[in-house]
Amino acid sequence: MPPTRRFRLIPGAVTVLGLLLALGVPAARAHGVRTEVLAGPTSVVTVTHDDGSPLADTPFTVLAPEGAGPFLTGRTDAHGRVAFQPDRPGAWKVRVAGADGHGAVVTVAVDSAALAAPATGATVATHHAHEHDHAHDEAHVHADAHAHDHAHDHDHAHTRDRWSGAIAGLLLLLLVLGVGGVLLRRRRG
Amino acid sequence: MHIPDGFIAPQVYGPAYGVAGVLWAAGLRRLRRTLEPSVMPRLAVVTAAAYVLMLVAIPLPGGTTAHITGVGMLAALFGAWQAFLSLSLVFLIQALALGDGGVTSLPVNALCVGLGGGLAARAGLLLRPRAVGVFAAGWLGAAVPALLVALVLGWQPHLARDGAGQPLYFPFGWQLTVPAIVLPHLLVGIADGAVALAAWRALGRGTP
Repeated sequence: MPPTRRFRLIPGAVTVLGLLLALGVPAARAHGVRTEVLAGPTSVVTVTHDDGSPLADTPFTVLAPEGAGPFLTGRTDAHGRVAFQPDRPGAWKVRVAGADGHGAVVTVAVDSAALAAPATGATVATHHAHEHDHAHDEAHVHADAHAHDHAHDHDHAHTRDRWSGAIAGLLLLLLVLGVGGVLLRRRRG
Repeated sequence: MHIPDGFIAPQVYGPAYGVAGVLWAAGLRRLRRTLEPSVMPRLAVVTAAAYVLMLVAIPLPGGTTAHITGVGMLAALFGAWQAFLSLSLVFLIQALALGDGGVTSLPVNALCVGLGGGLAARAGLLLRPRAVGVFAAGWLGAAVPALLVALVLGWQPHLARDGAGQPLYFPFGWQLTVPAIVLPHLLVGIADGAVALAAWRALGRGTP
């Protein structure tokens, strides 16, 4: 490639990639799937698109630890939720899958303490690990002002995670290809 | 079009890792011999563009979304082998950095989208005039991988069932996966074709 063309390529590429990132990262929030798990006497798995819209009316299967056959099957509710009452401790699996290939397989770790907890007790885990310094209970499923604030904070944190992940991935990609280019150049002398 | 972890049976992703591993090694050896170092900046930019384009979700009728893969653009500019290797790297980084796709599904995604899409795109390039061929490369680079992914996903319920006859992995057969995945990507292919054509006009004049 002539040197002048190579020098035109770099600022052009930076501009195009920057614009695509600015457009792509917020838009990508609607394509991925995230999950939230409340493990307890009544365990709830909530599956949403990255923009918070639920995977509603999507088929799910709950598989018990070392169980033969599904423990429960059905379709997610309007909020993308699956609720079930585990009858033994262990790693429960919840598979939510649409025919278009969108979905997730989530492990719900239920221990004896969680099973013995009062019906309102639950522990929360999300696909993206954030600190939860307050106890959630099943009122979590009711929309109230706190839940809205929490969801709002959650979305912001998720967008930050998505941005940092996307940029880190881009830099890693360019690093790998850059190292590959240097090695190739050395090999060719 | 990325298949997530947990949807593919081990008896599929195990051999797929074997096949993809052999092809990754062969592809790297081939590129070490044939790739000109001066091409690397363009290759890095186009691979990075494919990575970023995959982040852009295109809303589709029915409430679902899909995205461009850029495989036609890569194959038109650099060949099917490079499209396969570049897309494999993109899928690995997306799985590790963003949690999109998955580690167990990586070889299936790489073979269906990178290799299948790359070969289909190169076939599209045979069309003349050249601009039509490049657009066809982009379109086929979206449509053919969608069909392959739909076939692999629809195969899972036939492969692995529990004692009660319930599918252990992805639960839907071909009669549902093929229309649900392929039809949207016939539309997405138009965007993929336009991107391939734009990239070829900007960077690809004189490429074989």
